[in-house]
Amino acid sequence: MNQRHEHELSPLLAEHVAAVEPVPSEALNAAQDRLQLRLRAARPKPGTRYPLRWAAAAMLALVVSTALVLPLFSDSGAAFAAARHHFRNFKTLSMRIEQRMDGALLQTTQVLINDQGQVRTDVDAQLSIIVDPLRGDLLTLLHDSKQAMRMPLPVAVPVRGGTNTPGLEWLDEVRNFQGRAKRLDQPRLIDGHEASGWKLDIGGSSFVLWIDQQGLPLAMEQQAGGSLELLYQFEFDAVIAAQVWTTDAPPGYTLVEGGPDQD
Amino acid sequence: MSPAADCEPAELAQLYGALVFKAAYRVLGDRAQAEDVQQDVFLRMIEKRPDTVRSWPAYLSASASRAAIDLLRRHQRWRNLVPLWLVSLPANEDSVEAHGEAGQRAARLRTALARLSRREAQCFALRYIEGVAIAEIALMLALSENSVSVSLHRARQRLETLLRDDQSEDAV
Repeated sequence: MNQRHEHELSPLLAEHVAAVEPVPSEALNAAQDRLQLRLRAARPKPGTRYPLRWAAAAMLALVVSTALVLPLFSDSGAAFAAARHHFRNFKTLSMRIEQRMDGALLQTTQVLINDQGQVRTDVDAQLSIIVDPLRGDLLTLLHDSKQAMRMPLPVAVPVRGGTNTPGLEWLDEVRNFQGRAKRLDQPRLIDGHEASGWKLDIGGSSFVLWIDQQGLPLAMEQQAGGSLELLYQFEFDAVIAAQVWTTDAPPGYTLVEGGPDQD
Repeated sequence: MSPAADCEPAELAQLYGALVFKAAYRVLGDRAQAEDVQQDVFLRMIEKRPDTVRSWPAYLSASASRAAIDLLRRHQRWRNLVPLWLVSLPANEDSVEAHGEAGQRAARLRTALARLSRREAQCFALRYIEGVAIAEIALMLALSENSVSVSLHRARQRLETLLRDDQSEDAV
Protein backbone atom coordinates (compact mmCIF):
# COMPACT_ATOMS: atom_id res chain seq x y z
CA MET A 1 0.00 0.00 0.00
CA ASN A 2 2.97 2.26 0.42
CA GLN A 3 3.96 1.84 -3.19
CA ARG A 4 4.15 5.17 -4.95
CA HIS A 5 2.15 6.05 -8.00
CA GLU A 6 3.99 5.26 -11.21
CA HIS A 7 4.97 8.84 -11.92
CA GLU A 8 5.25 10.10 -8.37
CA LEU A 9 8.57 11.47 -7.22
CA SER A 10 10.47 9.88 -4.35
CA PRO A 11 10.80 12.05 -1.24
CA LEU A 12 14.44 12.75 -2.11
CA LEU A 13 13.60 13.88 -5.63
CA ALA A 14 10.54 15.79 -4.51
CA GLU A 15 12.65 17.67 -1.98
CA HIS A 16 15.12 18.68 -4.67
CA VAL A 17 12.45 19.68 -7.18
CA ALA A 18 10.70 21.74 -4.51
CA ALA A 19 13.95 23.61 -3.98
CA VAL A 20 13.86 25.01 -7.51
CA GLU A 21 13.30 28.67 -7.02
CA PRO A 22 10.50 30.90 -8.31
CA VAL A 23 11.40 33.38 -11.01
CA PRO A 24 12.18 36.88 -9.69
CA SER A 25 9.71 39.25 -11.32
CA GLU A 26 12.21 42.08 -11.72
CA ALA A 27 14.53 39.76 -13.64
CA LEU A 28 11.64 38.71 -15.83
CA ASN A 29 10.66 42.27 -16.67
CA ALA A 30 14.23 43.32 -17.40
CA ALA A 31 14.72 40.28 -19.61
CA GLN A 32 11.56 41.10 -21.55
CA ASP A 33 12.75 44.65 -22.17
CA ARG A 34 16.13 43.50 -23.40
CA LEU A 35 14.55 40.82 -25.55
CA GLN A 36 12.43 43.37 -27.35
CA LEU A 37 15.45 45.59 -27.91
CA ARG A 38 17.48 42.68 -29.15
CA LEU A 39 14.83 41.56 -31.59
CA ARG A 40 14.45 45.08 -32.89
CA ALA A 41 18.17 45.24 -33.55
CA ALA A 42 18.40 41.78 -35.08
CA ARG A 43 18.65 41.43 -38.82
CA PRO A 44 17.22 38.29 -40.37
CA LYS A 45 20.34 37.27 -42.24
CA PRO A 46 20.73 33.50 -42.42
CA GLY A 47 23.96 32.32 -40.97
CA THR A 48 24.66 35.47 -39.01
CA ARG A 49 26.13 34.66 -35.65
CA TYR A 50 26.67 36.75 -32.59
CA PRO A 51 28.91 36.25 -29.61
CA LEU A 52 27.24 35.62 -26.26
CA ARG A 53 28.26 36.88 -22.88
CA TRP A 54 27.51 33.68 -21.10
CA ALA A 55 28.40 31.22 -23.82
CA ALA A 56 30.32 28.53 -22.06
CA ALA A 57 33.33 29.01 -24.24
CA ALA A 58 33.34 32.75 -24.32
CA MET A 59 33.09 32.63 -20.56
CA LEU A 60 36.67 31.47 -20.39
CA ALA A 61 37.88 34.30 -22.54
CA LEU A 62 35.75 36.93 -20.92
CA VAL A 63 36.63 35.93 -17.40
CA VAL A 64 40.26 36.20 -18.28
CA SER A 65 39.79 39.41 -20.20
CA THR A 66 37.61 41.07 -17.60
CA ALA A 67 39.90 40.10 -14.78
CA LEU A 68 42.71 41.48 -16.81
CA VAL A 69 41.25 44.80 -17.75
CA LEU A 70 39.21 45.80 -14.74
CA PRO A 71 42.14 47.35 -12.91
CA LEU A 72 43.05 49.52 -15.86
CA PHE A 73 39.90 51.54 -15.62
CA SER A 74 39.74 51.94 -11.93
CA ASP A 75 41.74 55.11 -11.80
CA SER A 76 40.81 58.15 -13.82
CA GLY A 77 44.27 59.74 -13.56
CA ALA A 78 46.79 60.10 -16.35
CA ALA A 79 48.85 57.18 -15.11
CA PHE A 80 46.46 54.71 -16.64
CA ALA A 81 45.65 56.61 -19.81
CA ALA A 82 48.37 55.03 -21.90
CA ALA A 83 47.69 51.60 -20.50
CA ARG A 84 44.00 52.05 -21.28
CA HIS A 85 44.92 53.00 -24.82
CA HIS A 86 46.89 49.77 -25.23
CA PHE A 87 44.02 47.65 -23.97
CA ARG A 88 41.47 49.45 -26.09
CA ASN A 89 43.39 49.49 -29.32
CA PHE A 90 45.44 46.34 -29.54
CA LYS A 91 45.41 44.24 -32.67
CA THR A 92 46.54 41.23 -30.72
CA LEU A 93 47.09 40.69 -27.03
CA SER A 94 49.07 37.76 -25.75
CA MET A 95 48.92 36.78 -22.09
CA ARG A 96 50.94 34.13 -20.33
CA ILE A 97 49.24 33.25 -17.08
CA GLU A 98 50.84 31.23 -14.32
CA GLN A 99 48.63 29.77 -11.63
CA ARG A 100 50.54 29.29 -8.39
CA MET A 101 49.50 27.81 -5.05
CA ASP A 102 51.79 28.61 -2.14
CA GLY A 103 54.33 29.63 -4.73
CA ALA A 104 54.28 26.25 -6.49
CA LEU A 105 53.40 26.35 -10.19
CA LEU A 106 50.16 24.49 -10.86
CA GLN A 107 49.46 25.39 -14.43
CA THR A 108 50.48 27.69 -17.25
CA THR A 109 47.94 29.13 -19.64
CA GLN A 110 48.53 31.12 -22.81
CA VAL A 111 45.65 33.35 -23.91
CA LEU A 112 45.63 35.13 -27.27
CA ILE A 113 42.98 37.72 -28.16
CA ASN A 114 42.68 39.75 -31.34
CA ASP A 115 40.69 42.80 -32.34
CA GLN A 116 38.10 40.58 -34.05
CA GLY A 117 37.13 39.07 -30.72
CA GLN A 118 38.73 35.71 -31.50
CA VAL A 119 40.27 34.07 -28.46
CA ARG A 120 42.61 31.14 -28.18
CA THR A 121 43.49 29.56 -24.85
CA ASP A 122 46.19 26.93 -24.48
CA VAL A 123 46.34 25.18 -21.12
CA ASP A 124 49.76 23.63 -20.62
CA ALA A 125 50.32 21.26 -23.54
CA GLN A 126 47.07 19.37 -23.01
CA LEU A 127 44.18 21.51 -24.03
CA SER A 128 43.41 24.31 -26.48
CA ILE A 129 40.17 26.22 -26.80
CA ILE A 130 39.49 28.53 -29.72
CA VAL A 131 36.47 30.82 -29.69
CA ASP A 132 35.49 32.51 -32.94
CA PRO A 133 32.48 34.78 -32.41
CA LEU A 134 32.46 35.71 -36.09
CA ARG A 135 31.86 32.13 -37.16
CA GLY A 136 29.92 31.38 -33.98
CA ASP A 137 32.16 28.41 -33.28
CA LEU A 138 34.04 26.97 -30.35
CA LEU A 139 36.74 24.38 -30.95
CA THR A 140 38.22 22.33 -28.13
CA LEU A 141 41.38 20.33 -28.80
CA LEU A 142 42.59 17.58 -26.51
CA HIS A 143 46.19 17.15 -27.55
CA ASP A 144 46.99 13.92 -25.71
CA SER A 145 44.19 11.99 -27.38
CA LYS A 146 44.27 14.07 -30.59
CA GLN A 147 40.56 14.77 -30.31
CA ALA A 148 38.72 17.84 -31.50
CA MET A 149 35.22 18.89 -30.48
CA ARG A 150 33.42 21.72 -32.19
CA MET A 151 30.22 23.28 -30.98
CA PRO A 152 28.22 26.36 -31.96
CA LEU A 153 28.06 29.36 -29.75
CA PRO A 154 24.55 30.52 -28.90
CA VAL A 155 23.43 33.35 -31.16
CA ALA A 156 22.17 35.96 -28.74
CA VAL A 157 24.02 38.90 -27.31
CA PRO A 158 22.42 41.11 -24.68
CA VAL A 159 21.97 44.71 -25.70
CA ARG A 160 23.30 47.10 -23.11
CA GLY A 161 24.35 49.97 -25.31
CA GLY A 162 27.95 50.89 -25.98
CA THR A 163 30.47 49.46 -28.35
CA ASN A 164 28.40 46.55 -29.67
CA THR A 165 31.68 45.22 -31.04
CA PRO A 166 31.66 41.44 -31.36
CA GLY A 167 33.73 39.93 -28.59
CA LEU A 168 34.47 43.19 -26.84
CA GLU A 169 31.23 43.85 -24.98
CA TRP A 170 33.06 43.62 -21.71
CA LEU A 171 34.51 47.07 -22.44
CA ASP A 172 31.14 48.58 -21.63
CA GLU A 173 31.07 46.96 -18.24
CA VAL A 174 34.63 47.96 -17.60
CA ARG A 175 33.91 51.60 -18.40
CA ASN A 176 31.33 51.72 -15.67
CA PHE A 177 33.70 50.35 -13.08
CA GLN A 178 34.47 52.63 -10.14
CA GLY A 179 37.39 52.07 -7.84
CA ARG A 180 40.70 53.32 -6.54
CA ALA A 181 44.27 52.40 -7.34
CA LYS A 182 47.25 52.89 -5.06
CA ARG A 183 50.69 53.36 -6.55
CA LEU A 184 53.32 51.19 -4.91
CA ASP A 185 56.46 52.87 -3.63
CA GLN A 186 58.91 50.40 -5.09
CA PRO A 187 59.31 50.03 -8.86
CA ARG A 188 60.30 46.68 -10.32
CA LEU A 189 62.45 45.58 -13.24
CA ILE A 190 60.59 43.41 -15.73
CA ASP A 191 62.60 42.18 -18.72
CA GLY A 192 64.97 45.10 -18.26
CA HIS A 193 62.20 47.71 -18.11
CA GLU A 194 61.43 49.67 -14.96
CA ALA A 195 57.78 49.25 -14.10
CA SER A 196 55.51 50.98 -11.58
CA GLY A 197 53.07 48.90 -9.61
CA TRP A 198 49.42 49.88 -9.04
CA LYS A 199 47.47 48.04 -6.38
CA LEU A 200 43.72 47.56 -6.50
CA ASP A 201 41.18 45.51 -4.63
CA ILE A 202 38.35 44.34 -6.82
CA GLY A 203 35.61 41.92 -5.95
CA GLY A 204 37.55 40.45 -3.06
CA SER A 205 40.69 39.93 -5.16
CA SER A 206 43.83 41.98 -4.91
CA PHE A 207 45.56 43.02 -8.14
CA VAL A 208 48.91 44.66 -8.81
CA LEU A 209 49.35 45.94 -12.36
CA TRP A 210 52.86 46.75 -13.56
CA ILE A 211 53.19 49.48 -16.21
CA ASP A 212 56.43 50.72 -17.78
CA GLN A 213 57.36 54.38 -18.12
CA GLN A 214 55.65 54.63 -21.51
CA GLY A 215 52.42 53.27 -20.06
CA LEU A 216 52.79 49.80 -21.55
CA PRO A 217 51.26 47.14 -19.28
CA LEU A 218 53.90 44.48 -18.72
CA ALA A 219 52.56 42.21 -16.02
CA MET A 220 49.90 41.75 -13.38
CA GLU A 221 49.61 39.80 -10.16
CA GLN A 222 46.28 38.67 -8.80
CA GLN A 223 45.63 37.22 -5.36
CA ALA A 224 42.69 34.99 -6.17
CA GLY A 225 41.81 33.87 -2.66
CA GLY A 226 43.59 31.60 -0.20
CA SER A 227 47.11 31.01 -1.35
CA LEU A 228 46.16 30.97 -5.02
CA GLU A 229 48.00 33.53 -7.10
CA LEU A 230 47.79 34.33 -10.80
CA LEU A 231 50.72 35.97 -12.56
CA TYR A 232 50.12 37.53 -15.96
CA GLN A 233 52.67 38.64 -18.54
CA PHE A 234 51.45 40.77 -21.45
CA GLU A 235 52.60 41.28 -25.00
CA PHE A 236 50.76 43.63 -27.32
CA ASP A 237 50.41 43.46 -31.10
CA ALA A 238 52.65 40.50 -31.73
CA VAL A 239 52.19 39.04 -35.21
CA ILE A 240 50.13 35.86 -34.87
CA ALA A 241 49.59 33.43 -37.72
CA ALA A 242 46.03 33.24 -39.04
CA GLN A 243 45.76 29.49 -38.48
CA VAL A 244 46.06 30.03 -34.73
CA TRP A 245 42.46 31.32 -34.75
CA THR A 246 40.87 28.69 -36.95
CA THR A 247 38.07 26.60 -35.52
CA ASP A 248 38.62 23.83 -38.08
CA ALA A 249 40.05 20.66 -36.59
CA PRO A 250 43.77 20.44 -37.36
CA PRO A 251 45.15 17.55 -39.42
CA GLY A 252 45.58 14.37 -37.41
CA TYR A 253 42.78 15.17 -34.96
CA THR A 254 39.58 13.13 -34.76
CA LEU A 255 36.48 15.26 -34.75
CA VAL A 256 34.19 14.16 -31.93
CA GLU A 257 30.66 15.11 -32.92
CA GLY A 258 28.23 16.28 -30.30
CA GLY A 259 29.82 14.45 -27.40
CA PRO A 260 27.52 13.95 -24.45
CA ASP A 261 24.81 16.09 -26.03
CA GLN A 262 23.70 13.12 -28.05
CA ASP A 263 20.91 11.07 -26.61
CA MET B 1 -1.94 23.82 -37.35
CA SER B 2 -1.33 27.46 -37.93
CA PRO B 3 1.23 28.76 -40.41
CA ALA B 4 4.19 30.28 -38.58
CA ALA B 5 4.41 33.05 -41.15
CA ASP B 6 1.38 34.64 -39.50
CA CYS B 7 3.35 35.41 -36.34
CA GLU B 8 6.32 37.73 -36.14
CA PRO B 9 9.01 36.77 -33.61
CA ALA B 10 8.67 40.19 -31.94
CA GLU B 11 4.95 39.60 -31.39
CA LEU B 12 5.57 36.13 -30.10
CA ALA B 13 8.26 37.48 -27.81
CA GLN B 14 5.78 39.94 -26.38
CA LEU B 15 3.20 37.24 -25.82
CA TYR B 16 5.40 34.36 -24.72
CA GLY B 17 8.79 35.85 -23.82
CA ALA B 18 7.99 35.56 -20.12
CA LEU B 19 7.01 31.93 -20.50
CA VAL B 20 10.30 31.16 -22.23
CA PHE B 21 12.34 33.04 -19.63
CA LYS B 22 10.59 31.24 -16.76
CA ALA B 23 11.12 27.82 -18.30
CA ALA B 24 14.80 28.53 -18.85
CA TYR B 25 15.30 30.13 -15.45
CA ARG B 26 13.82 27.23 -13.55
CA VAL B 27 16.14 24.81 -15.32
CA LEU B 28 19.22 26.99 -15.08
CA GLY B 29 18.69 29.00 -11.88
CA ASP B 30 20.58 31.92 -13.34
CA ARG B 31 19.19 35.17 -14.71
CA ALA B 32 21.87 35.87 -17.28
CA GLN B 33 21.80 32.36 -18.66
CA ALA B 34 18.01 32.30 -18.76
CA GLU B 35 18.08 35.59 -20.60
CA ASP B 36 20.55 34.21 -23.10
CA VAL B 37 18.31 31.22 -23.72
CA GLN B 38 15.30 33.47 -24.10
CA GLN B 39 17.06 35.60 -26.71
CA ASP B 40 18.45 32.55 -28.40
CA VAL B 41 15.02 30.98 -28.82
CA PHE B 42 13.54 34.02 -30.52
CA LEU B 43 16.60 34.91 -32.56
CA ARG B 44 16.67 31.43 -33.99
CA MET B 45 13.13 32.01 -35.17
CA ILE B 46 14.35 35.02 -37.11
CA GLU B 47 17.08 32.95 -38.68
CA LYS B 48 14.83 30.00 -39.47
CA ARG B 49 11.08 29.98 -39.07
CA PRO B 50 9.45 26.73 -38.03
CA ASP B 51 7.19 25.41 -40.79
CA THR B 52 4.04 24.77 -38.82
CA VAL B 53 3.29 25.13 -35.15
CA ARG B 54 0.28 23.61 -33.44
CA SER B 55 0.60 25.62 -30.26
CA TRP B 56 3.05 28.45 -29.75
CA PRO B 57 3.23 28.14 -25.95
CA ALA B 58 3.94 24.42 -26.26
CA TYR B 59 6.47 24.93 -29.03
CA LEU B 60 8.26 27.70 -27.19
CA SER B 61 8.25 25.87 -23.86
CA ALA B 62 9.83 22.88 -25.55
CA SER B 63 12.40 25.10 -27.28
CA ALA B 64 13.26 26.86 -24.03
CA SER B 65 13.62 23.67 -22.02
CA ARG B 66 15.76 22.07 -24.75
CA ALA B 67 18.03 25.11 -25.02
CA ALA B 68 18.32 25.35 -21.23
CA ILE B 69 19.13 21.66 -20.88
CA ASP B 70 21.73 21.96 -23.63
CA LEU B 71 23.30 24.92 -21.87
CA LEU B 72 23.27 23.07 -18.57
CA ARG B 73 24.95 20.07 -20.18
CA ARG B 74 27.48 22.25 -21.98
CA HIS B 75 28.40 23.94 -18.72
CA GLN B 76 28.76 20.56 -17.07
CA ARG B 77 31.04 19.41 -19.85
CA TRP B 78 32.88 22.69 -19.63
CA ARG B 79 33.49 22.21 -15.93
CA ASN B 80 35.26 19.00 -16.79
CA LEU B 81 37.53 20.82 -19.21
CA VAL B 82 38.38 24.21 -17.83
CA PRO B 83 41.21 24.68 -15.40
CA LEU B 84 40.48 24.65 -11.71
CA TRP B 85 41.24 28.29 -11.24
CA LEU B 86 38.51 29.33 -13.64
CA VAL B 87 35.90 27.02 -12.22
CA SER B 88 36.66 28.24 -8.75
CA LEU B 89 36.06 31.87 -9.63
CA PRO B 90 33.04 33.43 -7.90
CA ALA B 91 29.73 32.56 -9.52
CA ASN B 92 27.45 35.18 -10.99
CA GLU B 93 26.04 36.99 -7.99
CA ASP B 94 22.58 36.77 -9.49
CA SER B 95 22.76 33.00 -9.40
CA VAL B 96 20.22 31.66 -6.97
CA GLU B 97 22.48 28.72 -6.25
CA ALA B 98 24.70 30.85 -4.11
CA HIS B 99 22.01 31.16 -1.47
CA GLY B 100 20.97 28.76 1.23
CA GLU B 101 20.31 25.10 1.65
CA ALA B 102 17.40 25.08 -0.78
CA GLY B 103 19.63 26.73 -3.34
CA GLN B 104 22.21 24.01 -2.85
CA ARG B 105 19.58 21.34 -3.34
CA ALA B 106 18.46 23.02 -6.54
CA ALA B 107 22.07 23.23 -7.67
CA ARG B 108 22.57 19.52 -6.99
CA LEU B 109 19.46 18.71 -8.99
CA ARG B 110 20.74 20.78 -11.91
CA THR B 111 24.13 19.13 -11.81
CA ALA B 112 22.45 15.73 -11.85
CA LEU B 113 20.06 16.78 -14.64
CA ALA B 114 23.04 17.75 -16.76
CA ARG B 115 24.24 14.16 -16.57
CA LEU B 116 21.09 12.68 -18.07
CA SER B 117 20.50 12.28 -21.77
CA ARG B 118 18.95 15.33 -23.35
CA ARG B 119 15.59 13.65 -23.82
CA GLU B 120 15.39 12.35 -20.26
CA ALA B 121 16.42 15.71 -18.85
CA GLN B 122 13.94 17.57 -20.99
CA CYS B 123 11.08 15.23 -20.13
CA PHE B 124 11.91 15.50 -16.44
CA ALA B 125 12.15 19.28 -16.54
CA LEU B 126 8.88 19.66 -18.39
CA ARG B 127 7.00 17.20 -16.21
CA TYR B 128 8.29 17.94 -12.73
CA ILE B 129 9.74 21.44 -12.92
CA GLU B 130 7.24 22.95 -15.33
CA GLY B 131 4.31 20.73 -14.39
CA VAL B 132 3.34 19.78 -17.95
CA ALA B 133 1.15 16.69 -18.38
CA ILE B 134 2.65 13.62 -20.02
CA ALA B 135 0.25 13.76 -22.95
CA GLU B 136 1.22 17.37 -23.57
CA ILE B 137 4.94 16.58 -23.36
CA ALA B 138 4.42 13.86 -25.92
CA LEU B 139 2.86 16.39 -28.28
CA MET B 140 5.53 18.98 -27.61
CA LEU B 141 8.41 16.60 -28.29
CA ALA B 142 6.71 14.56 -31.01
CA LEU B 143 7.02 11.37 -28.96
CA SER B 144 4.54 8.74 -27.92
CA GLU B 145 3.20 8.94 -24.38
CA ASN B 146 4.86 5.62 -23.73
CA SER B 147 8.26 6.99 -24.77
CA VAL B 148 7.79 9.96 -22.48
CA SER B 149 6.86 7.65 -19.60
CA VAL B 150 9.93 5.51 -20.22
CA SER B 151 12.17 8.59 -20.34
CA LEU B 152 10.65 9.87 -17.11
CA HIS B 153 11.13 6.52 -15.41
CA ARG B 154 14.80 6.41 -16.44
CA ALA B 155 15.32 10.03 -15.47
CA ARG B 156 13.88 9.47 -11.99
CA GLN B 157 15.99 6.39 -11.41
CA ARG B 158 19.18 8.04 -12.60
CA LEU B 159 18.57 11.24 -10.67
CA GLU B 160 17.78 9.28 -7.54
CA THR B 161 21.09 7.45 -7.85
CA LEU B 162 23.07 10.59 -8.60
CA LEU B 163 21.54 12.53 -5.72
CA ARG B 164 22.07 9.67 -3.27
CA ASP B 165 25.70 9.35 -4.38
CA ASP B 166 26.05 13.09 -3.95
CA GLN B 167 24.64 12.91 -0.42
CA SER B 168 26.95 10.01 0.46
CA GLU B 169 29.97 11.99 -0.72
CA ASP B 170 28.88 14.97 1.35
CA ALA B 171 28.48 12.78 4.41
CA VAL B 172 32.05 11.41 4.15
